[in-house]
Amino acid sequence: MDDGKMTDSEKMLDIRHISFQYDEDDYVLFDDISFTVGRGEFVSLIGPSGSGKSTIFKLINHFLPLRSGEILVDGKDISKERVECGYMPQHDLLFPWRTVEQNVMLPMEIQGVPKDKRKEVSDELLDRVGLSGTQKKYPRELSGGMRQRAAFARTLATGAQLLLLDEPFSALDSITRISMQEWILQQWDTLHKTILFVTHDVEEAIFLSQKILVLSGKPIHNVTQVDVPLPKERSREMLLDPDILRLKEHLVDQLRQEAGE
Amino acid sequence: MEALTTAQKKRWRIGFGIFLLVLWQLLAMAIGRSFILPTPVAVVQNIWENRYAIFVENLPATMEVVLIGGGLSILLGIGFALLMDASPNAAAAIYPVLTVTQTIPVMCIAPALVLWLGYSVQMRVLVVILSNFFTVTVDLFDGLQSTREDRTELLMTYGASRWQMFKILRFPSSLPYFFSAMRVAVPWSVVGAAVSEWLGAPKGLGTYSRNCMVNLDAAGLLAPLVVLTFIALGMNAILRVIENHVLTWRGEI
Repeated sequence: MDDGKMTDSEKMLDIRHISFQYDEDDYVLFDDISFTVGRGEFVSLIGPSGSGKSTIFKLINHFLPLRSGEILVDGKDISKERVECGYMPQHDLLFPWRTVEQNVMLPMEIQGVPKDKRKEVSDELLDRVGLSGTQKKYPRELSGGMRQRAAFARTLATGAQLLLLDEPFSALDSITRISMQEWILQQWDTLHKTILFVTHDVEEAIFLSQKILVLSGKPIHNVTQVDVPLPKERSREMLLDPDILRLKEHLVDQLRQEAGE
Repeated sequence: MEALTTAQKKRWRIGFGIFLLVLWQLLAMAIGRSFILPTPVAVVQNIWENRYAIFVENLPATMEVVLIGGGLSILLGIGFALLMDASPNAAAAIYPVLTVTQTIPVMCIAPALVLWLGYSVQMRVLVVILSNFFTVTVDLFDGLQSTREDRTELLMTYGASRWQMFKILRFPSSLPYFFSAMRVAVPWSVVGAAVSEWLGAPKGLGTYSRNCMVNLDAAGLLAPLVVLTFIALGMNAILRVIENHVLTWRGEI
C-alpha cells in the first residue's frame, strides 16, 4: 500500500513531520519524520538499539511533548484529545499482586466497566489467548510465553484499535519466541486490529509484517518503507526464499551502517 | 559459599543461642555474685517466683502503652508519609523538621515530656510515638516514591486518574517497604514503652525493673526485660505471618 494512495480514513496512525529532542540531550533525536500505518495492517519498526524506536511509542502515547509536527491516531490529534492505544511494553509488567484475571481486567477497571462485564470480557480474552483456566493463578505461576499472552490479553482489554507492541518477545527463549511469533500472526489475522511492532530482530520483522519501516540518519530524518513480499498466510519455510533472504541481508546491512559498524 | 537450607539455618540459630546461654551461665557462675550478674537459670526462676507481680500487676500497664503508642505511631507515620507523597511542598517543609526530631535522642528529651505531661499515660505514649513514627514515615514514603516508571506509564496509557494510580499501583508497590518498617516499629514500641516507664510510672515492667535495680536485685531487673523481649519476638512472629500472607509476591516487583 503506498502512502500517496491511502486516504485519511484508511490511516490508523499518521505521523506527520514530527521532531523531537529529549530535554536532557544536546542532540535532536527525530528531525521531521513522517510515516503512516494503514487500518488493519501489521507494520514493524526496526532500527539499531538506541535509535529511539521506543521513543516513538512514548510520543504516540503522549508521554513526551513533540517539538513540532503532529500525530493522528484514527484521525484524532493525540495532543488535543485522549486517544486509547493498546500499549504492550517490552517486559510483560503483569502486577504480581494481582491474579491473571485481575491483570487482564485492569484496563477495564480503570475505564469503569462494570464488574460482571469485566469478568465476561476477561474470560473471553483469556480463552482467545489460550489461557482459560488460569484466571485465579498468579503471574509467577505462568511460563514466560504464557505471561506474554496474558499481557497481550490485557492489551486487548483496552479495546483499542491500534496496538503498539514494544519488542514483546525479546526476553523469551528462541523456541518460545518462534511459537509466539506464529501465535501473534494468528491473533492479528482474526482480530482485525492494527499492529505497530517494534523490534531489533530483522527476521522477526520480516516474518510478522506486511511492511517494515526502517529508521535512519543521525538525527533520524528518514523512514524507509519496505514491503514484505509474503502472503498473509505464511510459514517459517518461506523465510528461506531467495528474495526474502536478499531482503533480510539488505535490511541487516542497512541497520549495521546505521549503527556505524 | 553454598546457601543454607532452612533446617540448617534453624540448627545454627538454636545452636548459637544455646551456646550464648551456656556462656552466660558459666560466666555468671565464675563471677559468683548474683547481684552483679545473675545466671540465666536464676532469671527464669525469678520470673516464675514473681509471676503474679510481673504478668498480672505490671504487664498490662506496659502493654497498654505498647499497643496505644505503637498503634498511634504507625498511624501517624502513615499519615505523614501520605501527606508528603501527595504534596511535594509538604514533603519539602516537613521532611527536615522530622529529621531534626530524630537527631534528639528520645531519652534526653523525655524529662521535658515529663515536665509537660507529668508521669502520665500520655507521656509514655508520646515517648513511644517519638521513637517510632519516623521509621514508618520514611520507609513508606520511599516505597510510595519508588514505583517503577514503566508500570506508571502503562497505567497512564489506560487513562488512570491520580487516585487510581495510587490505589492500583503505588499503594501495593509500597507494601514491602511498609512491612520492613513495621518489623522495626513493632519491637521498638516495646523498647519505647519500657524506656518511658524507667522515667517513672506507677506501674509497668519498666518501673518494676527499676525498683529491682534500686534493691540490687539483678535477677529481678532482668526478669521483666526477658519477658518484654519474648513479647517483642512474639509480636514480630505474628507480623511475619501476616506479611507472608499479604506479600506472597515480595521480590517480584
